[in-house]
Amino acid sequence: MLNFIARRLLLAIPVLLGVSILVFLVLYLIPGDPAQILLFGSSPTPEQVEQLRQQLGLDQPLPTQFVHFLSRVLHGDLGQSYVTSQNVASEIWLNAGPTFVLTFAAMGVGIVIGAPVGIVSGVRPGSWLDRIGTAFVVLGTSVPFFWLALVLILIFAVNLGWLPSLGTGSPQAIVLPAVALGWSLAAVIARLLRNSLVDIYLQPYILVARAKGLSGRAILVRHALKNALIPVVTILGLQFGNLLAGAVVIEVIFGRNGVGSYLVQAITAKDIPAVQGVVLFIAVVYIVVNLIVELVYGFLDPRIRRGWTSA
Amino acid sequence: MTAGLRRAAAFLRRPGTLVGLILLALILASILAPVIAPDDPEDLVATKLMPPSGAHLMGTDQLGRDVLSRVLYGGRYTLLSAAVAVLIAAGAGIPLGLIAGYVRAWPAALIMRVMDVMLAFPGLLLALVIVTIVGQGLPSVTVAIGIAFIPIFVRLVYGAVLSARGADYVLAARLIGCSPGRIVVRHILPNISGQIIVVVSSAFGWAILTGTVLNFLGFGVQPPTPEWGADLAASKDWLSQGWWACTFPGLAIAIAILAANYFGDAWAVGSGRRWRRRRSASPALEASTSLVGPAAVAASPEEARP
Repeated sequence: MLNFIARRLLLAIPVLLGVSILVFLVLYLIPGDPAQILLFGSSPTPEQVEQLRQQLGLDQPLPTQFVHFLSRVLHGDLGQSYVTSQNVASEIWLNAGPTFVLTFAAMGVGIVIGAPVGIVSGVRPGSWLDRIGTAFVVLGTSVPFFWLALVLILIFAVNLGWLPSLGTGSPQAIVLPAVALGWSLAAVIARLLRNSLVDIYLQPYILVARAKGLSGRAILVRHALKNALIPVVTILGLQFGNLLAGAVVIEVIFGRNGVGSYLVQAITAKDIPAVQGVVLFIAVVYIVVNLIVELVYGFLDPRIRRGWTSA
Repeated sequence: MTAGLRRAAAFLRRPGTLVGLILLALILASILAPVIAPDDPEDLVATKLMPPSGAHLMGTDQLGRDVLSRVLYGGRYTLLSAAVAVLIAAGAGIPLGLIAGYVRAWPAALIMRVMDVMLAFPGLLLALVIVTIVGQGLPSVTVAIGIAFIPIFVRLVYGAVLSARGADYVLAARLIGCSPGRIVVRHILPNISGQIIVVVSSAFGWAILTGTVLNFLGFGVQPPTPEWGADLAASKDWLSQGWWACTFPGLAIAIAILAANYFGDAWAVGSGRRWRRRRSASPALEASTSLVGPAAVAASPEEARP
């Protein structure tokens, strides 16, 4: 197991390095002089541009600059926003909380709605309940989540007035954004769980469990579900990144604070340090979450660990 | 009943026919927009926010423009942009995947490591980063999605070529002296084309979603150009005064994504290939079909599942 953990950690390093190179290059890939871009909108004098260039080390060769960038980032310094003059790292830190709350709430919605639908469909494939479940999956994967958000606002905030549509003020304010963001995850979980249950129920070991007289419920809970849930764990990890990216839009629609709305403001204002900071932050969170999922996965399923240590 | 009629009936009953026809209808409606649209999409033809009626089947929007005409014209921008994005992604991704899969050695390592890095960003985020670099506007959004989706095709083709390498027909081709280039292009590529078609179809759906999201956020077309995502954003503040201005563009997006997603599935079922079932049971592919297009995928399809 230790060997397995060490291997996975080592494999993550080149990806993290590649991600930081890409984020570092954003400033240089934008056509034009980086110093001019950073001073966007302030119509700087040539002296100011030159001063900034020296201050940031933009006159040095690229690899040197990258090493500086990396050591800065590793020390938790993501630079200064060129719009608000605030420290980017502390702004992200402030905004990360609401975004994580939204992401985990959406994940909760996905599990609470998706798992029962998937189980009911998977236990009785072809039944009318399965057909309803399939219709749910088709709708869930096709309806664009940002339009769903608007429809939810129209129904529950505007017409019925049950829930607030804007802001982060009251605890109920999380409900509509979380449902809008988590809906398609619910569909994905339902379909995955249904398909794996259908496959599993054809396995000989289920036949054995039936032959020894276990009840349907015991077979489902103790034998079928245990194996069916393993791929769901992976999906939750992979979907975490999608939820974070989707939160960008959901935060804008519902007027919520968070790294997503911060990112959209930064892109609109061409605030490059802020864009770099948020992108790096989301990518690193995503990589770390998937690393954790893979470790959990290896812990749950001995076949994976062994496959890795023998490889 | 004649044989021709029977064949037609069987064709209509096939699962792909309906979604295929829906997709075709959407594309035709967009192409024919100048002919069939009742009004100019940018003209203020009536009072603001009139509910759907005989004169304006989908009502009018917050500026008094005909919503039906905007949905019809909007499809031209939304669907064309998504189609070009998929062309870019497939055009770059398929050759890269073929090279990585058949040549191996250092090109494979280099290509696949770069893809790993790209996949470390959720698809929408990567597209946002590229929009930051190349600037705003519909062409930029299209290119951004095209680049962000390259890893989908590289991964697909790479995996397919790896598993085809040892196949008898490839060995036979090598035995009669075919060059590697000829084996890849004339033998392996036709054999994996079914899988590519399915992914092209799904990628079209993800590209529609990602594109409308970026336009919704205001990084794509500028007003008064009609585009489904941008129209949603423009009319969302008038939700309480008129649900129709927001509902119909959104419905168009949903139907287009549904048709694109299930056309690929139906194609796979229709052509009776078993691999699709195996693949759709893989968490990697499942992960990529929701929310915002291609999610990062575990290192390879084989790794994702024991």
